[in-house]
Amino acid sequence: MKNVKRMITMFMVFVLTASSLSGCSATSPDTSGSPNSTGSADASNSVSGSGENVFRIGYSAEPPSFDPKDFNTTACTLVTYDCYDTLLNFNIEGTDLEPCLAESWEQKDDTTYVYHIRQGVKFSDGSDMTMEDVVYSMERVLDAEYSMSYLFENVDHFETDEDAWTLTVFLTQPDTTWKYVPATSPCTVVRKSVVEAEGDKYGTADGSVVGTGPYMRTSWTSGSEIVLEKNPYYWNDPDSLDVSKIYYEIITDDTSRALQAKSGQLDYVRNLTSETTSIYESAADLNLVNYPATSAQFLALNSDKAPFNDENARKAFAYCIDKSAITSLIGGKFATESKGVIFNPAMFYMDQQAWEAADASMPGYQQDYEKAKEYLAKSGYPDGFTCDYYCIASGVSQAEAIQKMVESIGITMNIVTIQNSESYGVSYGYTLNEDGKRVYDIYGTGWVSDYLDPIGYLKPHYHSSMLYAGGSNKAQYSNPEFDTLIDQTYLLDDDKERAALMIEGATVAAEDCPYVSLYYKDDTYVINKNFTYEEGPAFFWNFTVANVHIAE
Amino acid sequence: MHYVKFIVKRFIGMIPVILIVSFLVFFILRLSNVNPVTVMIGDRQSTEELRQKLTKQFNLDKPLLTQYFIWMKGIFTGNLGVDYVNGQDIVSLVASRIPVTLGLVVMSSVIGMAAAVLLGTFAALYRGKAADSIITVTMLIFSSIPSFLLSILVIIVITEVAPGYSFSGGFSNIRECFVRLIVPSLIMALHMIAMLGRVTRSSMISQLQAPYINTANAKGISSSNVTFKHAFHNAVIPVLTIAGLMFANSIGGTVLIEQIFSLPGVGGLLVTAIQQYNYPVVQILVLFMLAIYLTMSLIVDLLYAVIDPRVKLK
Repeated sequence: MKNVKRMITMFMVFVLTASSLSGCSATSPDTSGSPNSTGSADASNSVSGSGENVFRIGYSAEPPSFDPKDFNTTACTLVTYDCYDTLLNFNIEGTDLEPCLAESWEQKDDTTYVYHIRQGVKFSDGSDMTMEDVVYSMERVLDAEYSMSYLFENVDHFETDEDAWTLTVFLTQPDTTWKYVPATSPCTVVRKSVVEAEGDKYGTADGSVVGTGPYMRTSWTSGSEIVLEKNPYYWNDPDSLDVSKIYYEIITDDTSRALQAKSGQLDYVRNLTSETTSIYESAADLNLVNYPATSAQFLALNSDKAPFNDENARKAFAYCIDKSAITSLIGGKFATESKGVIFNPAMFYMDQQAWEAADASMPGYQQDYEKAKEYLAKSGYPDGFTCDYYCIASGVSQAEAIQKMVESIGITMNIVTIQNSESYGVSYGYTLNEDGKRVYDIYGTGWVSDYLDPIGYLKPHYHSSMLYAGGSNKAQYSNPEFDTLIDQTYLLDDDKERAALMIEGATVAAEDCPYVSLYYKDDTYVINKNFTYEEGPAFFWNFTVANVHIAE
Repeated sequence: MHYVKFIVKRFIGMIPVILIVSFLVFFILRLSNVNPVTVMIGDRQSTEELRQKLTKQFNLDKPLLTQYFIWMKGIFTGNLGVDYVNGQDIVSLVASRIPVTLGLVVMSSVIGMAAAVLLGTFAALYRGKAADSIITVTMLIFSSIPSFLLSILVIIVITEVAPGYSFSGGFSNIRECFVRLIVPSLIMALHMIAMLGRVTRSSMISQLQAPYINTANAKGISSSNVTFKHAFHNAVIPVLTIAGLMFANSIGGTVLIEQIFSLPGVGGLLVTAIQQYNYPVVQILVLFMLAIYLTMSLIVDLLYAVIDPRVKLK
């Protein structure tokens, strides 16, 4: 009997030991590709004497995958873009384009663009990039499952000339904003044979990643860490890269992330929350950098149904809101109150003076209860009305502040909190009520423009072509006068002329008050003082560690 | 032989529990009004074609009961398909997260139990003296601090005192694992020490006061023999019950710790999955935690029999 007991005890000791040991071997399958991987515990000094420079990025989430078809979050920008190149790149100001995989390009006519593809480019697996890969990558975007396929909305078809190394894009209609698209993630080139062979597995932790970018993925420990190393076949001189290894650390808790950055464990962190900014500011080794971005926060008033199909009701609501209070309370330190149109002034570059003058003269809808009461009396609801404000959990504090502001003139605002996963369906009109209309009366949200061109705000939010299910016209606003003005900008090339039309359109829209603009914000990031790096408004498409250099 | 019989019987007894829980989890999740197709589409364009394709691919057009049986069949064949949000293979996703959580739980339990029994016994032997008071008061303090608060305090202190310590990184070798897991394990262990130590102390005191100790002492048995062979042997039984339950509970306790220390474990995965309405992942994790709980209670029952000869396994 005693022996049996002993054996059971031994067995259990063995099980416990074995399971605790196995706890120590959680590696992702593709670590095998990098026998030199030392782990970040050994790499606590960013700039080590051995010549290996390590750059550590801290972020709250991991990317959905390394396949360009899933690119749509900041996590992708920060870690996956470095494995790939796009046809073109934005310049640092975000206003112009630079060659990348396409050496040069020209516009043949209103709807035809020709791109001359660079020859001699190799993928990170050593194989040559062919025209077949290029056109395959572009045609993939036309598939509905490609997350940013909307950027190819006006594409009719592609043609290639294998001998001349040219890719010709035919559009269905003239589109001046097409010129920016080759610098965005849908124009990422992947290797056809690998993507086809791996299917859905491509780019996941279990699949491979093959691109032409400066770095290549060597390991992905799901939920914890992603490691990139230099791509030895990089076409654009691997020696120009100062950083040889990138660690991307997934740290979900805001405070832990801030404290780790402070203790020198992270070199680059962005999307700082207002609660943790003070921790970053107190860190001696970190530079906190602000730069103009393209984001803005606003409320969409659904003009497709009562009560906000009544212009006076919209204005009564807008005049109740104390924007400066919302800006300082919710927006935080780096936010600025905005005027009548939802916009970020970083986008005024085409004709700065004219834009600023127009912005100053537009109705700003700053809190004025007298005017609010006046408009309410003129509206169909002189005694007030009831409306539903939809937002995700992180927007509730702003909603509560607004609820109090509109209460006093007799507007009863109900707050409906929805889950993050529902927000897309609600705000883009896939979730409808029994009358087939979007469910919200007010939707509290924000926007980041795809490019610096002001059309990146005006068209998605105010144009009637964006009213459909999946369209971004959240206020369901439509005004033929505005549409005509904006449509003309697509046919013009001159920035000043385009700006003049857009300003006229913006003024028309501001008068109608379909949105309540709240504030806009600079983007903020922290970077270790050992590194130099410059970031611009095209961050979302442009970020690459290739531009990070060792400080002198 | 009756050990084997007992174990087999218990395993068979687990089956209905697991089935009932799997049924409840599956259908309770479906009570939510969030449509799985919206979760899968996420921020992509929601075309009718894509919606239909996903509905078919995930069998969402079939009745719920059929979907449940498809899922159950998947569990037995080891094919759980892909998750709703990222389309990753669920089996490999969960399997990659288990080692970290188990490592954390086992490490903290081993540290916690050993220290708790030692400190509890020590306090009992020095009952009423200064050492006892210090231990008891310290335990009282630690058992009343929630472990997530303690974690944040520890991180703040460590970043000030030892800025070189890394809370992030991979798990590619034993050293890295140890570095990543030791601090959160100690914090979890501290809570265990505080609870378990007090149980050990009171149980040990009641044994030391029992009449059979007087008899043993009167017979001239050495005091170390009396304490550790006689009293300790009996005192450790209630400790074991609570230790087993605490071990099983600590699987759930890892949820917060993993979030704060950004450990890629099951707890963190569960939180994210719940927030994202990633039903298949939530379902399988709940079953996994249940299985661990049931296995632990079985092991505790077996240990009873090992330690206390009066316990008969039936």
